[in-house]
Amino acid sequence: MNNIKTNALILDGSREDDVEARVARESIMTELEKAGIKSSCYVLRDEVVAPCIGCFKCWTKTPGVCALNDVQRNIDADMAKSDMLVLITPVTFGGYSSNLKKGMDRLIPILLPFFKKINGETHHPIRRGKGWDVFGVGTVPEKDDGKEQLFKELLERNSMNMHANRKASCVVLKGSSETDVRNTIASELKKVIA
Amino acid sequence: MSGKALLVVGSPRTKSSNSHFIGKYLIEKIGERGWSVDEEFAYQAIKNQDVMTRILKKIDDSDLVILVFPLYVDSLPSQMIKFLENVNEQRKGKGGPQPRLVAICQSGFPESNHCDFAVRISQFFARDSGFDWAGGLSIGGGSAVHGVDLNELGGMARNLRKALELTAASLVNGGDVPVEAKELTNKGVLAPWMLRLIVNRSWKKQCKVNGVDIRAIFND
Repeated sequence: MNNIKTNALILDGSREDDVEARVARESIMTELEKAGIKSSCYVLRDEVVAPCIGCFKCWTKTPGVCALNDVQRNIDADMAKSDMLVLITPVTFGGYSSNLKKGMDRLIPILLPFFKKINGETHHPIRRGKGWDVFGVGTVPEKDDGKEQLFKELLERNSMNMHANRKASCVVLKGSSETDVRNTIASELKKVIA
Repeated sequence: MSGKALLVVGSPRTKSSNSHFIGKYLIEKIGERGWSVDEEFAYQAIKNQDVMTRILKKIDDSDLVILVFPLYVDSLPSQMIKFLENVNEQRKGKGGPQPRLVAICQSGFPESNHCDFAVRISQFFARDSGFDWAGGLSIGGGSAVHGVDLNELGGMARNLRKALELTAASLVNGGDVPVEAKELTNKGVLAPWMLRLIVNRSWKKQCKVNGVDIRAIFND
């Protein structure tokens, strides 16, 4: 299957004081550039993105376009042009931060409303023929195997709904050296872009 | 045994949401057993600090807190996560009695397991925020509730009502969400094939009424 990528969308749901998340983001952008992949990056704490209101107008009135007119429309348009989705977040109760989730909740225009049985379970088909590969980075203040496991499983689950061919994730411990963060990112990102 | 239970609804549709109708049925059953019950809406708390402060006080005064919310992209809606982040900020490391916490997640998918991740996230929230975890329920086919009181849904919601009644009976006696209730919600509201058929027809009909092409590609 053709796995050549040309564009990536990066959604950063980290807090301003999350140094490791910033290093991870910069490292991802560097690695993508080296691989010839263009990226659009949104640091969601700096963007005014209204929360999804569950109106489903992006499915029934303006298919593919969110009814709320803010920067998320640009994010969704960049998603449409991308082959890959990158998620950066503090691991929050084992899941994503509210900052990241506000952007993710409003990605649903990429899906069709229909229910389809895929691998024995009901899912939404996507609005275009090709899915998105997914790479996720979580930061944690201290080692917590349970939360890290849940974070990785959640990313797998998202990848299934993004109809991804490839996915990878890693968890970075706060206080890690910049070199360690960059090495971890470079090694894990290869699983998705190589 | 009597106590205080607080329902916190995490849907942007607040009172008219399917989540609210499911949560309301549960706290009514708890209320019928002599408990004092109350309800709040997380989305209002995010918009208004006074509401947030009021809810935090009610949480401190409660024996049992029940979160009920819809599934958004495999997890809790962003504003519900924000609400939990705020509660965690106020409660972490706090001493004193720990209220028990129950999480109920409902989704339109026929299979209940889509909601399991959101329930597990809620469990970590409980651990990190000074609550005793009393269990969770994953509910599939929640869209079939369609903004209607569960009592008016007839046989279709029989398993759901029974699960909530069993849960209420266990919680007021100091127990957790019972296994029997989880088994009932795992059965779903309708057979998956039937729900897929009904839902797909409904989306097509809505688009036809609006005169739009449901399969339109992105507007980029």
